Amino acid sequence: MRILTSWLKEFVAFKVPVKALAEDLTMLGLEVEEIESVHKGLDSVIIGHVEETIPHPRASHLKICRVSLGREEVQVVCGAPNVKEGQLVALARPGTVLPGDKVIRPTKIYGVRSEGMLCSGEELGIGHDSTGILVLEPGPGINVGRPLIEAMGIDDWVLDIGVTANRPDCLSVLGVAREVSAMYDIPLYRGQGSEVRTQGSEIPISIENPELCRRYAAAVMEGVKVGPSPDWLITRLEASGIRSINNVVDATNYVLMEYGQPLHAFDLDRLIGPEVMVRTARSGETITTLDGRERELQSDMLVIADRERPIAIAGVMGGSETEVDVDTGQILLESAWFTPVQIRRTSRALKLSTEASYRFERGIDPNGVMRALYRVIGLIAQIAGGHLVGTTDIYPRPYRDREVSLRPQRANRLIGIDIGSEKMADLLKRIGIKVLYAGDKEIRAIVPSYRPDLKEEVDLIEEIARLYGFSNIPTLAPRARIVTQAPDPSQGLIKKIKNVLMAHGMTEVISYSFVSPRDIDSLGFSRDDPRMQIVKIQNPLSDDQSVMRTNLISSLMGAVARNQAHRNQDLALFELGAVFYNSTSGELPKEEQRLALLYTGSRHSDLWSGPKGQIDIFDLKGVLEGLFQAIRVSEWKVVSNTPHDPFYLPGSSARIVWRDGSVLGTFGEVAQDVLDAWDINGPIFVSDLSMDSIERASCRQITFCPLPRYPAVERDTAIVVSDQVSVQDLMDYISTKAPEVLEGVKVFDVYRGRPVPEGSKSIGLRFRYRAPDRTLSDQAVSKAHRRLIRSVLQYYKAELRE
Amino acid sequence: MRDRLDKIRAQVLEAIDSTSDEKALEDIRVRVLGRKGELTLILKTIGRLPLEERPEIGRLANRLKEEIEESIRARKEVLRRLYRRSQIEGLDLTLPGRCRPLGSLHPITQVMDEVCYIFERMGFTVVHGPEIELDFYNFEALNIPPDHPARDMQDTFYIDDKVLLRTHTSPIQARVMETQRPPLRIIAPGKVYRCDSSDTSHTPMFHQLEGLMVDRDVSFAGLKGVLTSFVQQVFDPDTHVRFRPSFFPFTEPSAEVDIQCVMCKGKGCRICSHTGWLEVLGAGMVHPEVFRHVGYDTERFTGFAFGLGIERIAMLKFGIDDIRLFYDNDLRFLQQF
Ligand SMILES: [Zn+2]
Repeated sequence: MRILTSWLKEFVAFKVPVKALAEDLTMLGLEVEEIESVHKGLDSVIIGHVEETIPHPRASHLKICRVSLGREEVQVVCGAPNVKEGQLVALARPGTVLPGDKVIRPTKIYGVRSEGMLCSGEELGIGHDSTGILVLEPGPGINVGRPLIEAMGIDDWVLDIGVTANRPDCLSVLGVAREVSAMYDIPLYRGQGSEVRTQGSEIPISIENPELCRRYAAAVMEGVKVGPSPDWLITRLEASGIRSINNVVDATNYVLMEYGQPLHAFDLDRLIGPEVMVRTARSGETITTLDGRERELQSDMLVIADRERPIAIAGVMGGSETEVDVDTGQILLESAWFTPVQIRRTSRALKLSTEASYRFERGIDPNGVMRALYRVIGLIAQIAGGHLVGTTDIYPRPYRDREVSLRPQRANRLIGIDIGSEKMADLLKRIGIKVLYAGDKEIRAIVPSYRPDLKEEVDLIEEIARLYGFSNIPTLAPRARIVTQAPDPSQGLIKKIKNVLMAHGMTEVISYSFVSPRDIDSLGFSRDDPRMQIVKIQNPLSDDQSVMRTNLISSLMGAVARNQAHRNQDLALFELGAVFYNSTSGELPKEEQRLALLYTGSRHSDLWSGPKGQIDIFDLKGVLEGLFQAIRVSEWKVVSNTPHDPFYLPGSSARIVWRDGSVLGTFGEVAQDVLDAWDINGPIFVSDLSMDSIERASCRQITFCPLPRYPAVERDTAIVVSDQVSVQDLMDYISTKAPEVLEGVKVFDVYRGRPVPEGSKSIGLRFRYRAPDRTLSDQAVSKAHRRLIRSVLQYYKAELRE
Repeated sequence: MRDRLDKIRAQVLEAIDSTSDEKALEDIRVRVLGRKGELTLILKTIGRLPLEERPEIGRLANRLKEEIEESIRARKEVLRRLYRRSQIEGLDLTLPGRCRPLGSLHPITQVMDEVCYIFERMGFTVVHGPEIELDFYNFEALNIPPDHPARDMQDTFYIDDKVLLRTHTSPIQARVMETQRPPLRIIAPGKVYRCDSSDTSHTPMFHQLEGLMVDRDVSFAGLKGVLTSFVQQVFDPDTHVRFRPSFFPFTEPSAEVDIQCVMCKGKGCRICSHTGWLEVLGAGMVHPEVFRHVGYDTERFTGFAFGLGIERIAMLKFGIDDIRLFYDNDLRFLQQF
């Protein structure tokens, strides 16, 4: 809402400078988002005294003027015929921006230096005389050296106020003036005007749906001369952000801005009947609105109609067929009150929001309808001629005063202050609330008709808090009982996971939860895969963000694509976040937290020492092992991934299974098809994990194990087995045959190549033996170890590697 | 003969002290103590000396031999240390260490953790709610009925007529109050979604943190206390804070919390649109209508709620001028945090 301070001053005589006014309004809840000078750019237009004029030696129509600004003198070249010695003039110094974006710079005119320009009223945008420069009459405040705008007292500002949805009353100059009046406790000049009922006009008016239109008032004027508006009105409308159309339309908009009451003017001669009906649209009806668009009307939309057709969409926009233009002589002016929800639905259905609909849907003052109508009649008579024939006011459901009561003690407790009920009543009175009774236990009051937001006790409490001043409310420690609620364990787990991954060199990314359907398609899921149960957004911003992601892999692919485009080739990324699936059960789609890891590029490529070369799958698996260790997920193993997720390269992915058989996730190398679809370089290794499963597998209880009292003995043995045998197989078998004293087994080497026969590999295993109650003898260990190895060799038809 | 021994002694000991490597030392040993060494020869010829000189010359020569051997041994030790030191002299400690490069946590995660931590120290507990939410919890339970103009404050992504992407973390309030009785002190962090096109200050997804405290005597003054403390912890202990009236359908009185601009210290700059203030939080006393929806007795309980945008705080803390950078996932950005 753009409010001119000069306009505001017609209602309330505030004395503070504009900056303080803006600050105070902001602290009252009317946030001033911007202060704009109407005479922007004219700060360096200074009042000067013409000391001397001499003719320009090379141009007879120009004069070289010596102008005093008090402390200094400047020389300007001036072509105005009326410039004379001894005048008080307006000198635009370099840096001035005149209306029309004309910038004043020091210049030379036919070889003579000119440090500014003497301006006419028109050039400054503060008058209309363009025949010569502005000559000021000496008077109080008109002092040489003063900025012109300030000296003339015509400084004017636009306050851009962010009016919250609960305060439709402040969508007008009057409404803001009321707040200013309450804030400074100073009188309001206008806006209290009483309603005068006059003779009805001849035009029949009827309301078919009084539940949608509480009040409809109209006035007929004749002899109106439609033409351009006077400058002062255009200036105010434009400053308020409204384009000038013609004097009649401008007058309705002017009163709209002033009183917040939307008004409409019809060309009465173009009304069939003439007759006015407020009714819902009939099926198939259309209307061409003032913006030139033909619109189909739905039967739940309210229209203003003449005898035959809709002539306006009630509260939203008028029709072009009854538009006021230069040929108009008689007009019908409408001032009405429509039901907010009705206007909002229509405006949304038509995707058409106007100054009128914006106010109606928030609620205007039902008692302000006639006041605005009289104001616009007067204004039109003033600027477009014509005279009033008569007015009609159909008011089937009159507004009834609303009484709200308040308990002062409750207000004090809720706000955290301690003020008496007299003081509270006084604050309420300032904003137009009629206090019926003010006692210690209760204040009963009638709220004004322009405040639809004041409905119950707490609404009045808010007004008291606001008027008392939020900054006057103390800042205290809250008075509340301690709440003993253990934190959600997943929160700590997530934090730990992120920190461990970071320590492993991985960088966290966060991607949008919505993706393109193509992103999901790129991973090649079969149709019955749950990850094809895609949740679609009804009203996406674009096709690229039109569905909710069902997995994190595509999000990471997107991150790789963007980074490879920036030549970031070596990537270690992870994302932890929700994915979404359609679900037949429950009211909401299924939401699942997942964790995805990604590795690609070379290993420590920018380090002078340390392992080098391309990242491979074991770099990723190593991170997983470290992660599981850190969050205490034990007894997990890797099993073949059949059927494998289609985004993995066949044969190079695996599942991670916990001891209870639940799948924690998968890891593997990304398939070439996926790389091609994203146009990214591989190899890329990813892991996709379920946070729910991990959380279940993560052991939160740590139990201390007594330290071993006897030394361990180790035995290294390399076994040559078929390539088909996996380490996991081997370990599983060993664990079934393990003697009691076997504490653990580790793989320390895997070797293929001569002298190991083709199709086989040598696996180096380190066995650790220990007994809890004695030192094992060499012979005992050797015996147990030999027996174990013999059994392994037999089972796998394997050999020892010498 | 005695003179000769003295001369050998002086020469050899000096030569030993000036050797710079073990080979030179060995050369000296061979020249003096070797099979044909100077001193060896003297020792061999002692028998030819007059009888009365023999014992003394023999003693002197043997002592000299021991002395030289000892000197060589000592010098060898010195040379070894020098040698090690010279090896260390080739060491360039300015080379980078052999370390696995650290990754980084997303700046939003870092700020979210910090913000949660501050509230957790004030006794708040973290709770979560669904990102795809029912219209009921997102709007109606928060006193935003259908066709209410307040719905314009938040452009909503819809899944269907009843299901939407939550536009704020506030629905968690209603969900928690449905199942728990006061006293309550919760915070609810998470992603939220608004149907806004991207620009330097908008992205269609961002992060919020919602807070709620309900008990028998919670007041606006307490709200001011908690949020002032929060702001001064997350920014600077000297940060000026102001509360100004605003409107949210689910709180009343409602406030917007501004901090003095961190860029210009209140003088007015581009970041704060020349007001000197930056809006960082929305807050207010829980509206009785919200309590009625969850069956709380509005006479017995009062509470306050607040919400803040994590991106906003992160941008102010780190001096980031374009919110979209958070979701570009560009390593050059992410690794700065
Ligand atoms: Zn600033």
